[in-house]
Amino acid sequence: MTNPRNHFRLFVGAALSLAVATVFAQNPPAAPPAAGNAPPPQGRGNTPGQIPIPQPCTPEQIAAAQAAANQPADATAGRGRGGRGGGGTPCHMPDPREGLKAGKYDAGEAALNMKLVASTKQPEGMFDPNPNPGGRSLDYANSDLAFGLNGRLALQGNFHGLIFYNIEDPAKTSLQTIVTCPGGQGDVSIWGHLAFMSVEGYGRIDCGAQPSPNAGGRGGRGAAAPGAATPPAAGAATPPAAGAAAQTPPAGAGAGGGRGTAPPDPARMYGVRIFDITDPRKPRQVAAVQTCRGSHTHSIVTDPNDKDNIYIYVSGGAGIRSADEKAGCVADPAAPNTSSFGIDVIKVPLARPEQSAVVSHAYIFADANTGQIGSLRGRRQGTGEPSQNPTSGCHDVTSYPWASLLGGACSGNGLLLDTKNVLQPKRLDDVADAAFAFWHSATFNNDATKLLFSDEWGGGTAPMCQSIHPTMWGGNAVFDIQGTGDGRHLRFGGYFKLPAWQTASENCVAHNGSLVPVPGRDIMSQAFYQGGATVFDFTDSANIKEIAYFDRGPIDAERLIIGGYWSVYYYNGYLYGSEIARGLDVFQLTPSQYLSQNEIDAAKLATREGCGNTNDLNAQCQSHYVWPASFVVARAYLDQLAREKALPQERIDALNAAMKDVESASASTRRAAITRLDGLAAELAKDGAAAKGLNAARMRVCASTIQKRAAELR
Amino acid sequence: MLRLLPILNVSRITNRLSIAGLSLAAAVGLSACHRGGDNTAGHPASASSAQAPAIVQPGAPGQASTVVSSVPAFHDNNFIDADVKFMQGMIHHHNQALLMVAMIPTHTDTVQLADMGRKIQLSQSGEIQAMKEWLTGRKQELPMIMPDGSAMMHGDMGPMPGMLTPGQMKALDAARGATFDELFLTGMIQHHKGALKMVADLRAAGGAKETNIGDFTNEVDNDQRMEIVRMYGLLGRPVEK
Repeated sequence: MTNPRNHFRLFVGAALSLAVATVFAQNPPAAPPAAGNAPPPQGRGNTPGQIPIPQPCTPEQIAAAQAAANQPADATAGRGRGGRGGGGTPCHMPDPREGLKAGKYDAGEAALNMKLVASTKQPEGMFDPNPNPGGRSLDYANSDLAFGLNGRLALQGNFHGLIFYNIEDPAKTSLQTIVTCPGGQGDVSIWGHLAFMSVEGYGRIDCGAQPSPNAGGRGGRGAAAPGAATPPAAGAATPPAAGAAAQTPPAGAGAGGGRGTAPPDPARMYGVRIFDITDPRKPRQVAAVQTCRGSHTHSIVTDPNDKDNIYIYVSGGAGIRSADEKAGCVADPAAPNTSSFGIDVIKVPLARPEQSAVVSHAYIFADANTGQIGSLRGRRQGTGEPSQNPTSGCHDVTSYPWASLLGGACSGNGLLLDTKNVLQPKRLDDVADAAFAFWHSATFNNDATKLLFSDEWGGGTAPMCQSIHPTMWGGNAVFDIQGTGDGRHLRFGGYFKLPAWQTASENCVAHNGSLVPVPGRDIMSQAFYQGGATVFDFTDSANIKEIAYFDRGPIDAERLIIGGYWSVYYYNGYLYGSEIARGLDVFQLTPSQYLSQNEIDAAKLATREGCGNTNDLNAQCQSHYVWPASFVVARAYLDQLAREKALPQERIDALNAAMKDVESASASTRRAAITRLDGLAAELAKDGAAAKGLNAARMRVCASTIQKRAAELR
Repeated sequence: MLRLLPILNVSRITNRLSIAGLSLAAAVGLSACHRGGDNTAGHPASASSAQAPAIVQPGAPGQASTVVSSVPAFHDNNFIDADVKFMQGMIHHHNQALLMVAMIPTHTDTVQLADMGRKIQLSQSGEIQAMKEWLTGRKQELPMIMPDGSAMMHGDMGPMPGMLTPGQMKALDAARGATFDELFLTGMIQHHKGALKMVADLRAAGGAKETNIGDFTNEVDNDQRMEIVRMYGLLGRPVEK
């Protein structure tokens, strides 16, 4: 037998060799430099290093970390897990989320700084009726969420249809309507009385549940075929003119189309459905816009100069159907008019949504100089070497109409694009990262100075948050947006992944999230499937910290049953979690050292502009948050200045007292109280103007908020 | 659902003539009335929230929707022969990985190899279960696995890409310590690369389009790629394609 100690040495050496071979950097060497003022090379890459897999903390390390966390004003108190400046400890801290009891509806729960206020179980009929259900079946999985109907509706997508929840009183959230319309994955958006739904699996135009007799598979034996569906009103996509240079077809990209050798199926739906939801108890399909590559996800985009139409960017990497099934589809990736290597753009006339049609196919990966359509390559996770295949599609894109920007999470790459020309968005920069397996989703901060990308390593159905997994794989990478105009580019800031270890029977990886509109900070809520919901602060992109969480034990202790949160979004004061297998959960944030009651209240006062009708929320068409001139908002800023010790406490106390005096003043004393408050605010504005940085900006906005409110009260 | 539950409870409890149940029923009724009265006019949703959920079957675009009594079931039938053969073959393929991992406790003391083995054991056995469920759910034949790792499907199944030859398996079983570690890691890398080839071949043949198998193959692809990188790390060698 070999001496185990010698073995140990062998493996330490092995780990070091791997470290040398592992270079974490963003752009592949062959990638062209970003347009305009490219940043210095050393700024693009994360430092080369070992793939960190932290070991459990020793009692001494735990004590030291707890002591640091108990420093009340210490900004580093939050927990994080990341490769660079992750804010966490170098070892793994024990976590209340670990060791929770398994169960579908009776699982153990752990929560920090957020509480569950309503929970609905998965509705009857939306389970897999198969007596031997595959634990990993997605046929009835809940998917994404959108919100609308003036705050009354949470719309939950499902691979089998749509689920409408009445959230007029969020704490009494109730099931309202089930729309049965299989197709998967049922990504949803809302604009006024219209709802949009992605179809990528096998769906029928008429939402029928029975397989078509023309469908190539063998499961259709004996299935009665419903009457032939009317072809959709939507027009055929015109193949875009593309002056592309020849390129190598990616390996494995067969030209057969979405269903292999199956014959054309005229009843098949593969694209984006549009429903009229004016009556949420009886939604009606108004259009079924067929695309060549189906729709894995879609995102609303607007043109500020066009109020009559909205646009839908369609993303996905599924197979391209044959021209026999849909005219104009070009499966050959080497063809100059290929249906691959881009996003489809649907135009939706708001007055005549039934006339919605694909109007453009934007080749967003094209090289601006050579015209080569597939010019981008990702990096292979771990080694960082350029991927064998060019990036050929986005998983999801997030538009930010307020800034005319688009964040593209495009399987191998992260993209920043300008959407002033809605039909042909222009790529400003692109990044790749050796820690990322699959660029899945993108989220801007409110000021459009940061872009957060999430990595869906393992595809969402695999348990990627176990103790053996690298801490920066399957999480988020935050990039700062630097430069101006067409010279805007992305600069890596830091990683963040759920810090709690999960079991082998919990699918877990970063997934969909949204901003929590606390003024003065960049805070996001995010789903990690069965890893639960997390809320973190990425104001400092190199030092990202978790500030709240909620988690349940696995659905099953022995077997991986697909479940957990698909998305966790903030909407009008509440967090909504779409649970794949268990239903819908509603949360409220609770105050803590990381987030004050004033900050929570200020977030509730935020209003949105830039995407959607009043009170619609689609996380992938981001609205810009604005806060009213309210003392609550001013107090939230003061709490932040106090937390970071950026202003003497006596001045913060004086400002808070002066605001309180104004609020409680009688008619006769009000004028004097306002004058005194104005004076304090003017001093704050002056100090803010004289300094630089985040806290100086907070001082200025706090001062102007107070002054505006004071003027209103005068 | 929250609206449904009290109704169900009421009928069940009323049948039992429980006093507590009746008072619960009364409380539910009262709170519903109170809620309705509390809200200002012009909010029809508050009235509808008390109703049972509607199940709606839409029609083709432009056609009316109909209210139905239950959610019709759907089975994804969008798979082809290549998908079935892939699943049958991959069960055979994964089974060999389990045989290899089973040797670890008796053949080596290396802690890192045991950790890696546990990870492979968990993912491959879970995936075998998922593949069996996929096949049975679609009324397809399951391969019969023999104790020696060979598989039967109306006769012998040939080896799958990357599978170790009987000679390689014998050599692995005969090795101990560092030799075993070396053979295990190189063998498992060869084995995993075969799985990646199987996924690529399936995709090239137009398979992996059905929702569940598409998802499954992505998972196999991502997971085994990661494990290959880690195994090269344990060998102390750069990753080779």
